[in-house]
Amino acid sequence: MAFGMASLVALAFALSGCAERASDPAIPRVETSGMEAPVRVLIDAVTRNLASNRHSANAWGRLGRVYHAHELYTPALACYRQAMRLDADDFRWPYLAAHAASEVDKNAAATLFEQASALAPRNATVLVAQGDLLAQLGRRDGARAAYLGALAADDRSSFARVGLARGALVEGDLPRARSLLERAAELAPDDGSIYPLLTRVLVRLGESELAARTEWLAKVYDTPLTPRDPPLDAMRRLAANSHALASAGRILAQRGDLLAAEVQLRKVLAIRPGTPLETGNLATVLSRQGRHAEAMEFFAQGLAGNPDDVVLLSHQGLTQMLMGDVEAAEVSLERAVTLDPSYPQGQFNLGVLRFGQGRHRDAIALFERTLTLNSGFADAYLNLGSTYAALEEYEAAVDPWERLRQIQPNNPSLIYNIALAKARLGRLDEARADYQHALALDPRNVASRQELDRILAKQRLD
Amino acid sequence: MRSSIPVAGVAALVLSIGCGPSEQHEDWFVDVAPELGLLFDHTSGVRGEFLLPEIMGSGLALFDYDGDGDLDVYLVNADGEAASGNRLFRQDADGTFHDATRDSGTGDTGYGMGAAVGDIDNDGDLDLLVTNDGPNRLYRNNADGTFSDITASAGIEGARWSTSAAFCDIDDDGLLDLYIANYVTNEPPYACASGTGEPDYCGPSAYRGVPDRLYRNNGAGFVDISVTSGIAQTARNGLGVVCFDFDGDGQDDFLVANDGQRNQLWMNEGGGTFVDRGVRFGVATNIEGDTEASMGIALGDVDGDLGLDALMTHLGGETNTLYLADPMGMLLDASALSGVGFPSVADTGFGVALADLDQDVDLDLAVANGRVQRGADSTARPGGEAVVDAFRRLYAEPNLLMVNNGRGWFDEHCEQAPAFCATSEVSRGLLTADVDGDGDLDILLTNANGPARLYRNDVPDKGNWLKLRVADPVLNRDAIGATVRVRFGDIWQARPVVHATSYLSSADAQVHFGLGPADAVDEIEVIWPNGVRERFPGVPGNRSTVIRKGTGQGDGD
Repeated sequence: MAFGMASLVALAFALSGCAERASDPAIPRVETSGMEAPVRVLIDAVTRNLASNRHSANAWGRLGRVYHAHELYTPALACYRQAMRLDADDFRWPYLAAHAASEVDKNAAATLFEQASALAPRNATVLVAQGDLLAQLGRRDGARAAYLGALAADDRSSFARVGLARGALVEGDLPRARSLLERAAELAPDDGSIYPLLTRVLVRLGESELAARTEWLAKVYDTPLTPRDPPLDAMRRLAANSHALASAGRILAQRGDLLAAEVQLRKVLAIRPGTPLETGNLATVLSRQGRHAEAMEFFAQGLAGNPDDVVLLSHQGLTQMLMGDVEAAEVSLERAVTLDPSYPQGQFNLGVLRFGQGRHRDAIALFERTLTLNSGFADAYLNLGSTYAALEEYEAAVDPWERLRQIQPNNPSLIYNIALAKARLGRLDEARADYQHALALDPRNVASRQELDRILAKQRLD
Repeated sequence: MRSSIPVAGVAALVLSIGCGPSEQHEDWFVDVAPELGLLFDHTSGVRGEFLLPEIMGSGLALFDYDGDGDLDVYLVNADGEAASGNRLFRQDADGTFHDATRDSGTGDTGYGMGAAVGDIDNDGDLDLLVTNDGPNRLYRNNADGTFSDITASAGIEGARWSTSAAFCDIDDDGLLDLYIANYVTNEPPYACASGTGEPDYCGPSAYRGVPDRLYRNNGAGFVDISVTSGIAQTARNGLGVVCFDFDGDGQDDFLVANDGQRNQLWMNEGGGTFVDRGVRFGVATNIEGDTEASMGIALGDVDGDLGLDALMTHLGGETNTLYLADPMGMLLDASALSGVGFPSVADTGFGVALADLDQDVDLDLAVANGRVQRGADSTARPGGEAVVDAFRRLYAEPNLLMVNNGRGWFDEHCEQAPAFCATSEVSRGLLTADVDGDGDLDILLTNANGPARLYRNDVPDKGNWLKLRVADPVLNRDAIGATVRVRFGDIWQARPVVHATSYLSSADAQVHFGLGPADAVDEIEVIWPNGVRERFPGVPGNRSTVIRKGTGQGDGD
């Protein structure tokens, strides 16, 4: 009897296995002949791997991610769907499938997000993404439920709050929208998606002064933050095309990861030699690493193709300045500013040069012009204040620094500068408070400690 | 009234019999450009190098340049070759078009982008600005069927990459001033790559934005006030611009659609200065706070509350965005709430019109679509393919027609308009106007590397209509910047009086109202550009009427 049962089970498994092999989907193929070589090689390799591991969800998922990373959404979706069949418990497959589907069929994406969030009900990132899609589809109740789920999973999620605030704004519940957005701004002060919404809400609530401040912050922070998203980020890292590499290089450079940025940009130039934008970006990344001579080679290459490239001229000028070649720097920067007076970085770099030359009034004019062109240019506020301070015009110095403090409320060296200027102006109570704030932010700040002690001693004497 | 666009009568009859009346869907819009002689093929000089200007397309102008009472068509071209420069088509009394480029002297051969019309010298006829990737061109209408090139003497020389432009009176001195949107730096262009590394057009982020320009008309010419006005204080990727008094303070403002950067709403502060209030008024971003790739703009009151709403077209993956004005003048992204958003995500919108195409008393929506980056079917054709054919295949998309249900919701109606929607091309400029003078609104469309199309409005069972021209007799021209409101029963409708609209395009300023079953309007109100209101008695429908400032009454024609 027992033997018989085992045989039946074994037979059933065998049939099931045969049936599955018989219904195995074909591996989605794409025409790769026109693609960049690294993309072609990657797709071929991952496809071969899948051909020999056809029952591996990971192998299907990997090909899906490679297609997805190269914007080949339909074959990506087919791969993810097979990965879902093979491993129904891994939320990544429906989640990534939902993202791919959202490029070609948003209703299908909504269903896939549902499956993903069912598998990962405490994953705030998944829930926020689901909420965003449902909001796009006009399914406000579903979106609200997803955002609330995200908040339940992570009560510090600024993204969930922004999503809920959008819904409240649409529904006309302005106080709730305001409360959500203000809390989101506390949690993620540099998220550029918050301030335009908050400004609208405050204007509607008649809070003109507060709205003016958030309107300004909207100019300072004009880029929305994207949430940290391990499955999606891992997929994006598979991109081997020049476009994605160039984007990655720019993002890494913005984050200050200059070596990694350099690697990405060199890959781009290996694929597409001489691309002007990436040539210039690589030169700038090298310059920022202090590798000025190498940078100058790439500036020269870029400018040979386009001698009027204002960005390259401006960065080249700064590099020349750092190399001590003031005369050459002056030529580059003045040319940049003449060619395009509306390019803020050009004005700023020339301001730095003028400061170095002791031409403080010219530097002030250039930093002010920079801020007129881009009111969110943080370094221009800093340098403008510093230039006034160098002229011992502390009242004038405090103003741009205080503006900068609204952008960088927790920058200890900035607050130290403000305190120093206020102390020079005899505004000792304010200076003391600022020193204390600077010390709270950075207890090792010896200068703040010494200046604070000096004020306290003086106030005791008085 | 002018005659309608001739119908290919026999063919239409045969089709009608063949389909049977109960089941057939008559095509709401039929391309009649070839049979009317409107023969124009845009070329952008594609050579397989994927240079950004090639994909941007060119616009058009619809205006009565010769004062004969019908609309003529100016079509912009972009290959810079003298043989195929811009073209002016004169409409004759029989509704056919004839190429009047040479006689009129308007055949600019720059790398053409857009066209803007406006009566810059208040002599009663419309002058013409052509924007280029390179020096722009300003033509003064000599009122005898010819134009004079006054670019140099007018003071608008420059060699930026200009796109849309708008004439309006920013200082209430009676003279039309000029805003020119600029796109990106026109340094040597180069190709980028698609997601898989195939050569493709770059996005604007590969370049830098260029500040727009604002010129004040002093009667003798134009003075560049870009810097002093504040307009040149930011450099963004401007593509679309409309001029209107958004905050109701009696001064004209500018709404600028920027590609991949926040839109700007330049509020006129008086004294020739402007401040960008895009964030404050809600049009800088969508409701998510995200910057979108804005292309074209249409203005209109889509929800019948007399507030002026704005619709902006966007890149595929983004929605077309409808901003509804609230009583405070703030603009709220209602794309999802109105149904406009979702159907637009798949395609990239450029030219756009809000117009009552079925004359049922609400504004419908027509959008010209066409990709800017390779489509899914990007595999090379076996046996080779001409470069221009590859361009059309890789970047073509169907257009979009949506009908307002009268309750603020838009439904896609492409099934009723297969010729307009399903003729998949790389469409760019789009205007609606009553080209054939039969009272309904036709659609004129331009395609990048394709033919211009004139879609005659054949919408069945349309309502009644009224066309109003709003004129200031003292200025001897249309009252650009005014708002016209009409009432029948308890229904009010409003229209802005503008030339510049859509993408790279400009139109006659006559306004059109669908009246539904009503055969007259009971009352007309005009808010003149300086904010002064004036009421006029009602007029019968199904006719064109001129409303003159200060008369308090209409004047039928």
